[in-house]
Amino acid sequence: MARSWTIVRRPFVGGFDVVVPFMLVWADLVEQDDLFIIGQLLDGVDAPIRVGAALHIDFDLTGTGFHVPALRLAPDAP
Amino acid sequence: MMRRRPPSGEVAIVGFAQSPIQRRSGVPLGLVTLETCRRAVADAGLELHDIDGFTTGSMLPAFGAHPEVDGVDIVTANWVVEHLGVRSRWCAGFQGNGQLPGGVMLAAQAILSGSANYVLLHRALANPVGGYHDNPMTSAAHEDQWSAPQGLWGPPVQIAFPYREYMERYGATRNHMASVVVALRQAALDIPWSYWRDIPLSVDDYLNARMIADPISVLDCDIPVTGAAAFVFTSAERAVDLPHQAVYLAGFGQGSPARRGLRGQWSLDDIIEGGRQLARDLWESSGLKPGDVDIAGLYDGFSPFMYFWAEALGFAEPGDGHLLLSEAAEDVRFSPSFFSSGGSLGNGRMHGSPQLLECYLQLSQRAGSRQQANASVGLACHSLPNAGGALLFTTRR
Repeated sequence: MARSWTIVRRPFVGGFDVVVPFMLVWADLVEQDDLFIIGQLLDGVDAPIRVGAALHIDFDLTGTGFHVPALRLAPDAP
Repeated sequence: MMRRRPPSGEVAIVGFAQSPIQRRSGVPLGLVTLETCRRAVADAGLELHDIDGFTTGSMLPAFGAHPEVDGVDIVTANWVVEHLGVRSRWCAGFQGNGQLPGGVMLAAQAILSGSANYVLLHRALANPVGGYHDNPMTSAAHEDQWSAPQGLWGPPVQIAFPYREYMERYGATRNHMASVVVALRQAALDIPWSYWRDIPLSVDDYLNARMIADPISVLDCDIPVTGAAAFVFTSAERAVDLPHQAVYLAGFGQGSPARRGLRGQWSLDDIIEGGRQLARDLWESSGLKPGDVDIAGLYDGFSPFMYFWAEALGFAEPGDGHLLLSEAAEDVRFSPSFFSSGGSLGNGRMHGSPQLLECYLQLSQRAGSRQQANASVGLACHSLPNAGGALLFTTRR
């Protein structure tokens, strides 16, 4: 569930300059209190994110063999 | 249960110096610092050989892959002792966040314990070559493995999360923040050492600033600079023999995280909850309350920090920090004064020095054209409420 987000336009880690802008979302896990994950939202920077939006974890971010956890808006979200 | 001894009224600031604040200096940071330290000691009416205690927080607050050579990129208290060519009885460095408040408390404890009679506290900041937070890492280990591969790196990105939370929860806008940032820059126009001394900022400038990590723009971040500040501390008894009006340390609070987390990953609730203990300690140790404060130096290395401090310390109710500060920004007679130091956004990335300096200058009646009548209680903060520190000062013991 989305708590907060930002659109990164000026990255500080090498390699991300070719993918800006990208959205990072802070998601609280509904399965357990006090756990959260911050990941890229694969729906793009114009996605209709809002506080409380339901999210799915996705592990296919880079397409380069690295499996970095990422997020997608849940299509059946209320 | 034994309670900690409050420092109220027993330790005083008796002198200061501030170097010019420059984007980059042609002079090595160590030399800038030594000159600033010498000037602070002279300002206090003392000789170098009188100083027997030395302290600082020497952190280079960058996420970039920069070297940290002592005397060049950072300046430790040990380096100052060695290069001033003096003998110290006591020398220590603060290593947590809230570098300057932590250093002040080390100085106070050294004086109260008799470890030193006169303590020199400095804070030196360098702007390293290259992007301040740029890190060319090709692999990430330990806790960084959970953030860097996501592109989550550096304080501007980290701070965007609780700031976005704040805006969504309480209806704060960038227009609210525009008045705050402009007020800080306006105050800095009258500060002789400020990096922004001759460069005013308009609301439109702020609203059109380049975004780094929405809603954090480049003008929500203090600009990296090179400079040094230094302060001399001694006991209240010794202070009466020195030339300037002493300013007494009245209270202290140290932030404590509300929950364990990865570096810099704090929610809005983490920040405010963690700051509550700091606020309790600060007000209890001093016997003061927010309404007593004349000069309120809320830390502003990133602009939303001011909202968080205002609410954590009780100047504003939860959710009202943006309303209070935007109202205060429009009224130069507003009390307390939240903006007179210019803060870090108005001076440059001096990491709490502007706030501490303003407390000292206003309370010792040395603020010149910026002097406020009857200023008798000052507050200086650094870092975040859940991780940094806050200090109270008074004109009376």
